[in-house]
Amino acid sequence: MNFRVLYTFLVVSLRNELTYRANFFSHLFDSLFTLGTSLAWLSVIFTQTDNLLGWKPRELVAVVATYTFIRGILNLTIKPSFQKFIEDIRQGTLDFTLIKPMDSQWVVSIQQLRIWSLSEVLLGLVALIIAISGMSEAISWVQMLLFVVIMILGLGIIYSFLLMLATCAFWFVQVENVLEIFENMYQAGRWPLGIYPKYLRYTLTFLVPIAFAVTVPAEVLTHRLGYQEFFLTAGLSVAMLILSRWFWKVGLRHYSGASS
Amino acid sequence: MFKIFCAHFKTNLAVHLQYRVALGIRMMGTVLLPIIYLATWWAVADTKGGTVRDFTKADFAAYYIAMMVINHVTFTWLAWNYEFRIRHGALSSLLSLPTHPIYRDFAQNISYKVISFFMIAPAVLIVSLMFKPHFQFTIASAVFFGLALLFSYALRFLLELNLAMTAFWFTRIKGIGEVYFFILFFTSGQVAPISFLPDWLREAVRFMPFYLILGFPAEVVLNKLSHAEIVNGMIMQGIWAIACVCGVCVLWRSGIRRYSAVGA
Repeated sequence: MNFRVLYTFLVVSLRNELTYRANFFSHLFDSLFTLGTSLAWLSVIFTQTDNLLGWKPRELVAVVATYTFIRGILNLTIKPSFQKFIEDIRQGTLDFTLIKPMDSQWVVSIQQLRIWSLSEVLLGLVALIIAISGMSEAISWVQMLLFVVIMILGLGIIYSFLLMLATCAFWFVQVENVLEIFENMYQAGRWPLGIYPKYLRYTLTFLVPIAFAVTVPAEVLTHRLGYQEFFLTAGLSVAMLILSRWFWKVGLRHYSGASS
Repeated sequence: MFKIFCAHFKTNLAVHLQYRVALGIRMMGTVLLPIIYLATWWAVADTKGGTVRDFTKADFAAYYIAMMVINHVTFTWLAWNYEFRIRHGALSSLLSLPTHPIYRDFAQNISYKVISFFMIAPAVLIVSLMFKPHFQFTIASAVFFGLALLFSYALRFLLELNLAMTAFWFTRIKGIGEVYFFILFFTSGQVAPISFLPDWLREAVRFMPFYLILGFPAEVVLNKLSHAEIVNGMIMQGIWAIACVCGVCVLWRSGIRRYSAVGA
């Protein structure tokens, strides 16, 4: 991979974004609202009980914080890039992407950078730190490291899933709202997977792997993660990355351009 | 007037039929969100040994399935529509037509509901089989529910029309919309039945349109209200609906004078 091209790409995106500085506030407002809704929701739940199937309020705040953090990272580059990609297919401008001297999967994955979404990433991080600092059991350095590793693995899973959804555009063209499927499913990640009834849990886990992305990192912080789950997540992440790569290549071969 | 509606209805029906996939995707959210609320309350009930206040797990299931139906029936896109029309100047061409754009909005909403009925009905059936809700229908409760639902449809349509009209002044109303949905989420009985709220808040919420739109019909179908309370609720729905009609008239008249087609 050519890092200089990658770097140029990011700089250009960054310059574009810095023109619209007021967007920072609209993004911040947006993410504060989402986080606020989740927290207020939690507080309503905890007027009726002092734990939720063993999850204490602080621990659930950690889940919500992870949810916000990951959402921010997705909004930063992956989601807007795929949105542009889908639009490009519809308009036939994907041709310009394909002739760039880089792997096309990389270009469509990072072509847009919404730097202001960093507000959401930071907000999630702050919430995470507050949640952790209030927990009775301390978090060791090993757990911190494990948290980061498993978060990256989880992002790998989500990324592959989004890539496969977006790749469908090669066949169906009119799929601007295909990413909405993900958006709807992701809502379920606000809560630890354990609270969903069993049949629903399997549907959610295997249809959309949100669970691995949000719940499993949160489980590290709340001392709930077993070795099995860790290896399952790692295996799934690698498998899905390979699968989505293959699917992307198949889709690409199917692309015929708009004017040809 | 009816002929105009029919014409709009037919064209919109055709449009919605073209975008079946988009429709299905939207329905996914409609079905999934109440299930998430339900799942959290089931978890609370499990933690507390089966019931929360006077709600059993089967009651929660019935409540949130009713919510799913009510929210689906009353849902509108008026705010998005008007924001788009005003921001892109698309309203100009609508204004040159001999009928008010509201006919179009109404026909669009009804035709969407007609088509999506064939998706929501099986979804409700499947969810009911999964969660085994406890419903106790009597003829009276069914009639009351039907009426309450009809009123809440009218009320929500008018209320959100007011919200949509604010686009004349603000052009982008995403922020206002978010605040609206935040209030709706917490005071309509979506996050929890309003009997779970603290006393002072519950009494205030009972008279707000948000509860009357969603929570009220759901409590009617669950037989949680006395006949007097039901009648009172419907009167409140009527009063709010009239207030909203007045609001729309005022906002539309002064808004249309302000409107200059953005970018024209």
